[in-house]
Parts: sequence; structure tokens; C-alpha cells
Amino acid sequence: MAAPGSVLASRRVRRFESFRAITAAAALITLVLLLAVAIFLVVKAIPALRADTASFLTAKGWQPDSTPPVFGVAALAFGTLLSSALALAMAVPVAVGVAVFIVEYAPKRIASWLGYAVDLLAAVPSVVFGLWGVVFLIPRMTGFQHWLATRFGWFPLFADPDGQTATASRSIFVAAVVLAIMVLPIVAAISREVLRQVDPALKEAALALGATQWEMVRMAVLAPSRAGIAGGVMLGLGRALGETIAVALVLGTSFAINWHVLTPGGNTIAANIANYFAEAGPTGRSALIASGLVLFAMTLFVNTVARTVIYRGAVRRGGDR
Amino acid sequence: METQWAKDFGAKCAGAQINYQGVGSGAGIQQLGAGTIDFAGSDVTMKSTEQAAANAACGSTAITMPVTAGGVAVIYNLKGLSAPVNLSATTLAGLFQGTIKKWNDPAVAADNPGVQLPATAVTVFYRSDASGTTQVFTGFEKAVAGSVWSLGTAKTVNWPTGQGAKGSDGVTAGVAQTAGGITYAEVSFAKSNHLPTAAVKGAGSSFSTISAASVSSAIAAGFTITGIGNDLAGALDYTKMTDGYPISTVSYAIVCSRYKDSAKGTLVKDFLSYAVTGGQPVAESLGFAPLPAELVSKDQASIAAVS
Repeated sequence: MAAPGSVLASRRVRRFESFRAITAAAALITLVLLLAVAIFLVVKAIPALRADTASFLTAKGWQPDSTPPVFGVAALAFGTLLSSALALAMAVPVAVGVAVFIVEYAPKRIASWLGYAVDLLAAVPSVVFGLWGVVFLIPRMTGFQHWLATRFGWFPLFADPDGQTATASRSIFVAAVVLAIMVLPIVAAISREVLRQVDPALKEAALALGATQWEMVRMAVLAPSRAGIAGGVMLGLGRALGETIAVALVLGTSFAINWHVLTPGGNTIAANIANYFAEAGPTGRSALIASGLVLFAMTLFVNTVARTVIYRGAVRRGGDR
Repeated sequence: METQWAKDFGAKCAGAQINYQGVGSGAGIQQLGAGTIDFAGSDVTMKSTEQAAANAACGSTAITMPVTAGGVAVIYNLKGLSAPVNLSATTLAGLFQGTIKKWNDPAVAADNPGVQLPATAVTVFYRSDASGTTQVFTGFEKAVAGSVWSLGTAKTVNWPTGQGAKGSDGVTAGVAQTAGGITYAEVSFAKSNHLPTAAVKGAGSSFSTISAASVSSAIAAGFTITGIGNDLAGALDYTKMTDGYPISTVSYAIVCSRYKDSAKGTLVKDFLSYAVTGGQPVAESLGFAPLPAELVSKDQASIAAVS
């Protein structure tokens, strides 16, 4: 009986070995792809960076095909970060709220329907959100934007110095609302799965100690899920930073660094690529690729910082116990 | 435009298939230079480097010829006016540069004697994407409004006022949503959004509305061929468009004068012959304008030399 047993065992070892090789290859392919993208961006960006007569990182205009070429990524990078940050500020509380409701509060049937609805929202193509934003949302946001500007104009972000919000304004704010709707299902779906993983014993223990339902959710469900939810937020942020066509359709582009999110204008790196690629000349195309490189670097940077923060947070909380 | 021609041409000649992709002039010229396509449609003529690349890809001289004319309409949203608003080049410059902020501004009123203009605020919509339409509009302003126009001419300029929207459909939709809105786009977009178009005065002495006939006569007056021999690349001089609708332009086809594959040469030749003759009324139905007769006969001579 010993011989067949060892054959079986060695087969299992072989299977284990080949499976490990397959997963390692998959991981390697991801890295190679990432590296290939980075190399492509750098190589194609160099001609434009050489030709640029302005400082690429600090200049604000985008005239790469004029003679001499003048363009810079500053306003685009600013708009990308501002619109994404605003979108997350709107989407994350709602998304986490939806997830907590589905997992902890909703009756089973409603919870599963709500879950489907959220997943469906994630499946809507971004161009549909963009068209909806242009045709439906922008005219209907006029009243709200104007109200915000008149009531809360003292808050620098909502200021409207030139009185531009009285008519429909294709602002960073509207773009952020569209982005928020697109980010929401991603954050909600991941948060829901993370909250589901919470050990029921932890929840029961909290309730047994006399915690109210809210206290139980806060301490036994949300607190241990923080890192997982943050991971979902990072994925959402990735989508917001890179979203192209919806932003290109909604935003009233301008090349200025403008903190007034309700006034028309603003631009993002991805939207700018969509807007200019078709008509770009050789330098223009290279310049757009250079801006893509900046977006690539920004995304990497934001992800790394966020991961570090989450990791530190997890370590510190671990130390508190 | 060329998409419709390609379809009609394919329907008329069994076995002939032309695959025309709308990718933008820049991409079209680039792909011609790279040899991935056999001919290109473009709003602009080629730069010398692009010409060299196209010649190399063709193995012969690439030639440019106008195939259709088109006007850029000034589209606005003002209720209660019985006739199209009159706008001169300098008034347009004021509107699009933000120095004219209300529709009842004295400059607009001076163009429209006796018309009761509303005090609605002006909201400019410009193209957020790079566009040949912007190039034509700013080219007209720079040539005719002169020093009053400070934004230069390009496929994108730094607009000091208003808001951007993507594509002709985007800017027109913006105007449709905004009382007091104004933009520039192909006339077909005004029609599909039920918006009026302005009567424009350029270098001439009268205001002209946009129509196939008025665009054709402006091209007849303002287009000069600068190419040599069969190359019919040309230049537009807006200051000479004193007759007809003054914001007018031509679109070109760029082809090889001699194709390596002679069957391909015959096909391109037949397609272009169709485009400048039977295709012209089709162009008109799509909101373009027919070429003046003089240009059509020059085109035909050039097309005959393609092989």
C-alpha cells in the first residue's frame, strides 16, 4: 500500500508545483505589463517634453501643435485631483452607508435586491453616465449650484466671483457628481463584501456586552473593516482619476487652476486626452502621452501613499490592543 | 460626409468597397503618411513634413484637392426675435472674448437697428476638443476682425469666457439648454436642435445668412489654389469673401497621384469623380455646400491624372 500512496503524493506535489508556476507567471505578467506601459509612456513622451517651450509640470495651457509648442500639465493634474477628491467626498459616505444597510439593517429580501441594484450601477458604461450628465443633470443642477454659491459663497470652494452660476454651469462640481455616481457602486460592493466577512462572534460579543446596534456596527463591524473599505475607496479613486469620456462630455474645459468648483471650467488629464487625441499632430500626440505618464505616476503615488497609511493604521490599532 | 459618399458609391458600383473611417484630420494625414490608408479626407492641407511622409508612403506625389465646401454657423438661443440676429465680425469678437456681456449691448444693437434685443446675459460655448471648426471660426475672426481679435487661430485657443463642450453636438446642446447662449458649429446642428443661426457680416458690406448657395459664392470669391500642377491645395482669404456667407471653408481629399496597385488607383479615381459631381447634391443634403463650378472642373482635371 505504500507504493501507490507515494505515487499519489508525488502527483499531488507535481500539481502543487505546476499550480504555483501558473500563479507566479500570472503575477509576473502583471508586472511586465505595468513595466511595458511605463516604458511606452516614457519613450513616446520624450519628443514632446524636449519640444515644449514652457515648463511641462507647471505651465497651464495646451497648445502643443502651435509653433513654438507651449503646454503644461499643471491645470490638468489639479483638475484631476480636485474632481476625484470631491467625488470621493460625496460617494464614500453614501457607499459605506449602503453597504452597512445591506449587511446589518435591511431585511434579507430588500438587501439582495439592493445588492443587485448597486452591482447593476457598476455595469453602466461611462459614456452613458456622460450623456446623462450633459442632457439631464447639467440643466437640473443649475438651481442647486446657484443656491450653494449664494448661500455658501463665503466658503472658498463655493465662491462665484463673476456670477457665473446663474446659468447652467459645466463645473468641476457637476463632473464630481457624475464621478461620484460611478465610484459609488465600486466602493459599496467592496465594502459590502468586507463587512460580510466580519466574524459574527465579534458582533454577538458586542451585543452581549450591552452595546446598542449602532455601537455594535461602529465598533465590531466598521472598525475591523477599515482597511478593506479603504481598499475599496482606492479602487474607486483609481476609477475617478482615470475616468475619461464621462468627464470629457460633462466638463466645460478651461486651462486654469481654479478652486471655485461651481464655476464653469476645469479639466482633467484623461478628458484632455479624449478631447485632443483625434486632431493632434505628432507633437500633440506625444504631449498627450506625456500627460498620460503624469496620470500614471499620480495614480501610483496616490495608491502607495494610501496603502502606507492603511498599513500604519492597522499596525497602530494592533498595538493598541 | 465621406462616409455617406462611400456608402452611396458602394451601392452604385457592385464590388467596389470603400471603407471610410472618421478619425479626425490629424489622424487621417498621419495614417496616410504611415501607409495604412489609401486616401485621406482633411479640413487642412498638409505641412511639408506630412507631405514628405505621404509622398514616401505613396511612392509618388500625394496631391490635395478640395471636394466639398462648408460654412460654420453662428448658433444662438434668444426667444422672441422674428428675424435672424445680425452679427458683424467685430461684434462676434466681442461676444466670444467676453467684452460684450449682454445681448442688448450697443455693439449688438448697432448691427440690428430697430430690433428690440433682450437684456439676457451672453453665455459662450466653445469646443473643448481640438477641432477644425474652431480653426475656421478663429481664422475668420483673426482675418476680418483684425486687432480686435486677440485669441489667434488654431484648433484650440485659450477662451477667456464661457464654457467648453465636446463636439458640435455638445456645444449646440449647451446653447439649447441656455437662454442667451451662443456658439459656432456646422449648420446641421442648428437644424437638429431647432436653433436659429445668425446673419454674419465679414469683410463685405452686408449681412448674409448661411446657405449652400451663400457658402459656395464665398468660396468662389475667397479660395485661391496655391498647389502646383495637379495639386489643388489652396488658401482661404476671409477678407476676400465679400460676397456670400463669410465663415466658409473647404474640405480636402488627399490622394496619391499614382497608386502602386493600379486597381486601387482606378477605384480612388472613380470615387473622387463621383464625389465632385453626383456627390455634391448629397453633400448639400448633409449641410455641406457644393463646390463652385470652377473648382469642380479643376478637380476633374486633377482626378483624371490619378492612376
